[in-house]
Amino acid sequence: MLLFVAVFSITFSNQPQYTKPDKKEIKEIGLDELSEIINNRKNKVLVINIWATWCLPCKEEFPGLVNLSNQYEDKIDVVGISIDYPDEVESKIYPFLNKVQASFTNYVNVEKNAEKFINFLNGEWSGAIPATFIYDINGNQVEFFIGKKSFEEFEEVVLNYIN
Amino acid sequence: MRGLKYNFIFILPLIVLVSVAFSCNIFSKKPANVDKVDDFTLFDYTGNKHSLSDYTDSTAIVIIFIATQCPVSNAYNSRMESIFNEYSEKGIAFIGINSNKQEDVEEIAEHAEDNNLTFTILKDEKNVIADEFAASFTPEVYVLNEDYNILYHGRIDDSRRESDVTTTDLKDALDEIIAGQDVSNPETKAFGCTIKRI
Repeated sequence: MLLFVAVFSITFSNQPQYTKPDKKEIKEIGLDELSEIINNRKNKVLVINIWATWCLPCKEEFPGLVNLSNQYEDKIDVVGISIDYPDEVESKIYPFLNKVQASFTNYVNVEKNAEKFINFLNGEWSGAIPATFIYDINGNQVEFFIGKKSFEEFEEVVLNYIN
Repeated sequence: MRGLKYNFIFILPLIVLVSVAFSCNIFSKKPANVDKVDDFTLFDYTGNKHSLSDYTDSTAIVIIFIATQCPVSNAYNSRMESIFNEYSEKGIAFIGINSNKQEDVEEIAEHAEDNNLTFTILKDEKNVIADEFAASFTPEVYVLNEDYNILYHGRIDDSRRESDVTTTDLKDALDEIIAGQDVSNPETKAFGCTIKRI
């Protein structure tokens, strides 16, 4: 019994703390705020994931991002940007983020010109989601992926840019 | 020396493999710029064969990569049908292509019936044609001339929500083509669902 308690305690004490996302924390983001996030690197790699609640592969991919954020919290900033409509935060975005226990920073896009948003992140991006953009500690975009990726695929790439 | 030689035999292929992997940027699928495609033949969901060359008498050929399960593509069902009805009378051919691996012919037929889609919808098994176009999302539009040059590529309009539409990009392009003009905005972008490839 003591052994069980000890193993249980050790196992769960090592689990990252899950902070329930606050609805108010899902802020609106435009290109100015996005630019600020990219440039404000505090010696951390940035992973920006563009997703939507209507996108099944995005939702399937999300737990891998949660895992990535939890495991490399000190070295990576994971930022989710939903391209659902801003009036869907409460009805769609928040329930999903809560369900997958995403405690990293999440936004909803308010740039109405999708093309501008797409080209701002990468001119070679078609607009297909999920899409993930990796920035090094200097704020340089070093990789971008289109389509669903696993935790292992994210980790393999991101580790190249972690000091 | 022998050890060094053996190490080299094993290490060299590894170096080559790693170099190729990184030069191909295996994690990024960046669409190639395609400005012309070759003729192709696919079957529609009723089993009839269609080739691009069947439509060269048209003023232009609209190809739209569509899906049965993508909410963005589905948000455009009635708009696509409406554009088909309006522009087929003006000599424009209109073809939908489904390249998603998980959406079979039966599902496409049922989806077309349920959503009153009367234009031709072809099944692109193994996404061969999506690859030829370098199409990556649904709904993604290509407008071709009789030589299969791409005159317009991109979105139908600028909003998934019909009430928020401010630019009718596909219709504008078709109007210019019908008027014998160059397409003033031949490349547009929008958010969409990734085409699920094999």
